[in-house]
Amino acid sequence: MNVNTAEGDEGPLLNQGEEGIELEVVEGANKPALEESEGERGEELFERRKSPRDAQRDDDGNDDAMEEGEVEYQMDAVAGADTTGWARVKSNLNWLAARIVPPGTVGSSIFELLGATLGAGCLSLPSAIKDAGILGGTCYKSYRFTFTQLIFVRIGIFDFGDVGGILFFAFVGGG
Amino acid sequence: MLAAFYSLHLLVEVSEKKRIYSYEELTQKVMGKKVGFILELSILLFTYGTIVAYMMVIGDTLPPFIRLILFGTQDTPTSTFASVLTSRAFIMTFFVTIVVFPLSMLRNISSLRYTSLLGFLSITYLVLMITLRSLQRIYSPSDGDSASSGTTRGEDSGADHVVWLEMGSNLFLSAPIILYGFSNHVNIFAIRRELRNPTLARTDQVIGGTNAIVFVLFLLVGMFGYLQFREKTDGNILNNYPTSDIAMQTGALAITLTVVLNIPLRLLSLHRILGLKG
Repeated sequence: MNVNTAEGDEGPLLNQGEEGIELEVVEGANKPALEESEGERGEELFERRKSPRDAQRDDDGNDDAMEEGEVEYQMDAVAGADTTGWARVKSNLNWLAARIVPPGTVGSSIFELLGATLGAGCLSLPSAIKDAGILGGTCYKSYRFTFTQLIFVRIGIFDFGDVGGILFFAFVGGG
Repeated sequence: MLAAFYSLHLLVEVSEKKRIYSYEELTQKVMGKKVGFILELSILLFTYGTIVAYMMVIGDTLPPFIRLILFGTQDTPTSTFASVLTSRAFIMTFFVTIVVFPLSMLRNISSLRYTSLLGFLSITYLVLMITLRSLQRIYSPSDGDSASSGTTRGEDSGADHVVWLEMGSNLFLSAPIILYGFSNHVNIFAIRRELRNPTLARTDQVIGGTNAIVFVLFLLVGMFGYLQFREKTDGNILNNYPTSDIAMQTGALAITLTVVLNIPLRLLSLHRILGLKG
């Protein structure tokens, strides 16, 4: 049987035999769907090798459930269990990507938020600095802070509802 | 940066208090349905504008490359067929139809998850190259001039003085561009949902780290891009660099790829608002 390691040190290779692999059944939300689609083979595949990190989790008594990235990674293993070529390449790439940016961590969240923030807009920033001047452009960067400070601190309002009450008095209450 | 951090922190804090984890729903809850409608309309226009800007980047960046690959020259080909094939309008239409449209209809876009990393690396490379080119010009002006001679693109303007503060109407034109740079509020809830153990402190780490990186990158690209070209700075800084500058054009290609892969992610909010998905 070929099984992907979610966190194991041996990497994502799918060529290891069944012998010598210590397995545990993982209670995950996706398990029923998998069983429906794959039957007993799916149940068998929806297992993972115990890693030192898993053991540590058990000792700590928390985070027993498989994490999101691991579930996805193992689903890839199911898809690629009886095939080679592209499925294996994809599985290996997923493993590598999950190692570089582990899903669910602060680091991966920063990258995701950076992805949503950074874009083609930065190409226009030099032009904006040209129009506003170096000091003007820098001042704009602190504009929102000044604005929110004025509202939230000076006036003593700390809730969006209250801010809405002032800024959009006529509309509030429609909900 | 501080403003963006503070406003994002407030959003997350209010969402925790109200137990609502969607930007649109939160607005409707605290400000009413009518303001919620205004917000959805704003997001719709915002996303639409973003996608139009992305398409313009594609149209600005790709034609010279495609001319170079297909015809071995960066100038406009003489034959009608070739000029149409490498025209801005054709290339933009082609990419929308063949690349962006299928990507925007993916049932599962998890495969695009790592494009964020690719986008970050692309933009970091581009920012570093812009900074490097600017420093090269500052410390050896002759090198900078020679690197950008022979074309209207890439003209340095060493004689222009540096504008520290512009008090004219242009000041207001630059406001939306700079303020837009920190706009990631709509996405914070979706990203927080995927964060393991999403406490307020950990969320603040995400927000603070993101804004600090964005601030540094924007400061570098804005200041050094402007200092190199000054009054001749184009609305798209990439247009200032000659097409013969391989390093810059590589960065341009990378950011174009990022933009193409980013469009499906941007379309998600449009789908949600229009009720096309989820």
